[in-house]
Amino acid sequence: MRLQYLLFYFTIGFMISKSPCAGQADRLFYDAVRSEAAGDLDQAINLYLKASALSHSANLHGNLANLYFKKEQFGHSILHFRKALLMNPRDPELHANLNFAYEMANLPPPLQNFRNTYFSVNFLSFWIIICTIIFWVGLLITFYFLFFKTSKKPFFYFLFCWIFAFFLCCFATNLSLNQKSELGREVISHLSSIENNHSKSIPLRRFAGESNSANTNIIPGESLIIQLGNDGTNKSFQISNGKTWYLAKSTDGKKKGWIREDEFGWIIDPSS
Amino acid sequence: MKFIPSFTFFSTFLCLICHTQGQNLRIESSFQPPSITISNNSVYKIVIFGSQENPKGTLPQVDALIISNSPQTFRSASFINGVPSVRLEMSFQVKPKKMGKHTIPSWPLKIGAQTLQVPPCTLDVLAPNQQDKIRQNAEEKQKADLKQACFIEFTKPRSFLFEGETVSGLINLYIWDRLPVSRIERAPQKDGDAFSLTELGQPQEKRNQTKYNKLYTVFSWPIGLTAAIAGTHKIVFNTAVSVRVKSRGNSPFGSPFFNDPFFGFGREESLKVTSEPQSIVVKSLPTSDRPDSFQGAIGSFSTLSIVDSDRVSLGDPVRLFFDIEGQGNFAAMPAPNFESNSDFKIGPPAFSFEGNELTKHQGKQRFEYILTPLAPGLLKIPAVSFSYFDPVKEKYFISNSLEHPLRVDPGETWIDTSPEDNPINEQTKSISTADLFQTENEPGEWVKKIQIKTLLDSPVFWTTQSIPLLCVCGLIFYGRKRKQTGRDIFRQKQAGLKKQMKEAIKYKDSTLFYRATRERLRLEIGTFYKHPNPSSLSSNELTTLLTKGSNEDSLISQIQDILHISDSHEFAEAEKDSQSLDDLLKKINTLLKRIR
Repeated sequence: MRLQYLLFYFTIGFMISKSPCAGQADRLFYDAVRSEAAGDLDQAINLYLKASALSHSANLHGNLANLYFKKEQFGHSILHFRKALLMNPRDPELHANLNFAYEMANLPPPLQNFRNTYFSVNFLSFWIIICTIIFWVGLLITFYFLFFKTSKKPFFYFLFCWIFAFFLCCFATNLSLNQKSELGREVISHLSSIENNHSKSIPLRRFAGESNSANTNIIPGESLIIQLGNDGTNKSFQISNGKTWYLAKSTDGKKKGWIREDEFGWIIDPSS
Repeated sequence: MKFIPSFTFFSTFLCLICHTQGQNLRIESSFQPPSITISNNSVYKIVIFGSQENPKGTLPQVDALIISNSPQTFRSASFINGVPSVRLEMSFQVKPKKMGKHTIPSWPLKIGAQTLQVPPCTLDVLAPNQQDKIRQNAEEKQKADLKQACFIEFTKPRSFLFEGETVSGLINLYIWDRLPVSRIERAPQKDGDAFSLTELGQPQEKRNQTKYNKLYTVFSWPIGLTAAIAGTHKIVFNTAVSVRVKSRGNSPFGSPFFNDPFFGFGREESLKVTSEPQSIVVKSLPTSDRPDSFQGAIGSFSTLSIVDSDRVSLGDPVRLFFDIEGQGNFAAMPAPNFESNSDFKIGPPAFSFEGNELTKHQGKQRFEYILTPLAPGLLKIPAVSFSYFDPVKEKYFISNSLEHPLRVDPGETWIDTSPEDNPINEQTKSISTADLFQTENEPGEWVKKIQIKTLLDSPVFWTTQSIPLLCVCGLIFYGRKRKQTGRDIFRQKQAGLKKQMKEAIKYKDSTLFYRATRERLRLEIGTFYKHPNPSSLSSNELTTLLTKGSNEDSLISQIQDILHISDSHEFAEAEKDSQSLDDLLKKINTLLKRIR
């Protein structure tokens, strides 16, 4: 009897803890859709942002990106399209919208070469599966040769091939893991909402702080990779006004500098 | 000499005229006859004595009489009792309208410098007699017959129209086949200013149409009739045809053939043909619920808007086609109001009409607007608003076209000419602009946080790894156990001996072959019967083991033979064996499998 009571209370507690969050996000989402339909884009953006603070969905970020696009805030638009694509990578409409947003932001779309395509995060699971299969099958065949076969020559041929294939798969998996690590540190630059930036460009500064000149400038919507410190964490610095600055590098490695935390958005928020 | 009488006559006549001009002027008036029935005509005659000058004056109008305006004049000069006299007679045709005594009052007439009064004159109009009635009936019948010989029929589609509404109609000119019409002088014309008519083209001709038990040739003109002024109005159509009729005089050859109009003779006369007057009520358009965008389109329409492209570069024009299809007043329909805004510069439209160009009542009117986008982005071409009045439903309708999304690229950009494929871009091309930036109405699947989940994070993946791990462990365990039982050594020895036998066959080394054969028989038979040391068994001991088992005698004797051959070959080397080594190997394999 005591076990039954425990199960009952656990279920009730789980429902209470779980349902309000999703329900509130749903409510905010529907309110945002209504506001958008009524033409109040600012209100719709606010509601979507509130919903995204509670929970995430591909449709939410897709809608939010569409609204930012209509407001011609292409940096924010690209950021949320990337988030939406991360959650639903097979949506062709999101791909098309993202490409158009890149075009409108005067930015080239991310380079789709062999490495970025077949060793991307999307292929990580594939490489892991291939790697695992080659490892186990090779190990089984090796023991079969050792215990059940007397001839040594085929065994050595097989051993060589197996080690070579396994090495290649490990290399591919490692490349994908690196891409995953970079994606975890990838940010999209956008104009800060608290200042009037008439130049429509974002400076990457030489030092962490406002009072130094820019190393270079980037366009809103451009991707940056936050650099790692010696301790393996993101290289950042908090200045006296409480703002945190991050050392970032463009994806092609040509631009580098410090960027303020409100001048970019994380594709994958490290705090969440 | 012969000119003298003529000269005398003319000089006398001139003297007479000169003399009489100075006489006293006098006027008489009378009706001839002074009393008529209503169906007959009379002549109002005025005689001026003493002058032959043309008089000037205005004939008074009498309501009950129709007096012709062109009188016949007659001038005469004579000697009466030796006194020269001149006079002028004027005869006016008079037709009475009603019965009774009708008097033309005294009226002034100016002759030269003098003004004289024409005396009053009374005409007595009597009731018609029987002969008049018969003649009147005959005339009416003749008129009716003539009317049936050639007439216009106008079919109106509805009993009432709205002001500005255009309806299609048909004017039919019926010409009796026996009427010798040489030509239609002109297309039918409309009497009545309350309607406007579209241009009449060439008529359609239909022969052998039966009506009133007569055969007709019918000429039809399709028309578009537009009501212009509200109220009740009559409309009449008339035309004129040339018919050939019998000549008045006799032919020069005295033959009736040369007077017959059917043979191309006779004379040509114009016959006026008029339709029956038809009353049409023209209503004003209702003012209540009239949309702001209403510009006078009346009819039943459907609209469609098409753009020729959904993706352009900034500055490139886009064509927007706005089609209005249906029935109505296309001729009076202005282009829908479609003005420039902050996104588009819109030029005046081009018109084109597909349908009946003459009536312009049914068909498709196309307005072609040229739009030039002024800003890049995903723009929306605004809807074109078109409102019309439906005369059947007697209501105003507004038909708005769809908003068309238009993707406006910022401009020409450098295109990478390298052959590298971009799969995502290719995918994009297949998506229409209309499908871009659509709002999802459902939130979809919620997740607490955005993260990249790989197989390495999945406990299922790590759990499944235990399956191949167990397989490997099982294989190692089984292999080790097998090694410990010595079975592996037997198999290794067996494989070695088989290999030796094959090599011996290959090199035709019979000594080596028989040695390996004997060793193999010892190994396999000794191991089969679990002898502790099979390699020490002699041929007799092997035979004893086989005999202890449940083997057939033939099998035992065959193995004995092989053992004997092997021993002989090794120790005596005397016996020669003709059997090929290959066959022997096959035989040994078969025999060893049969051991029980």
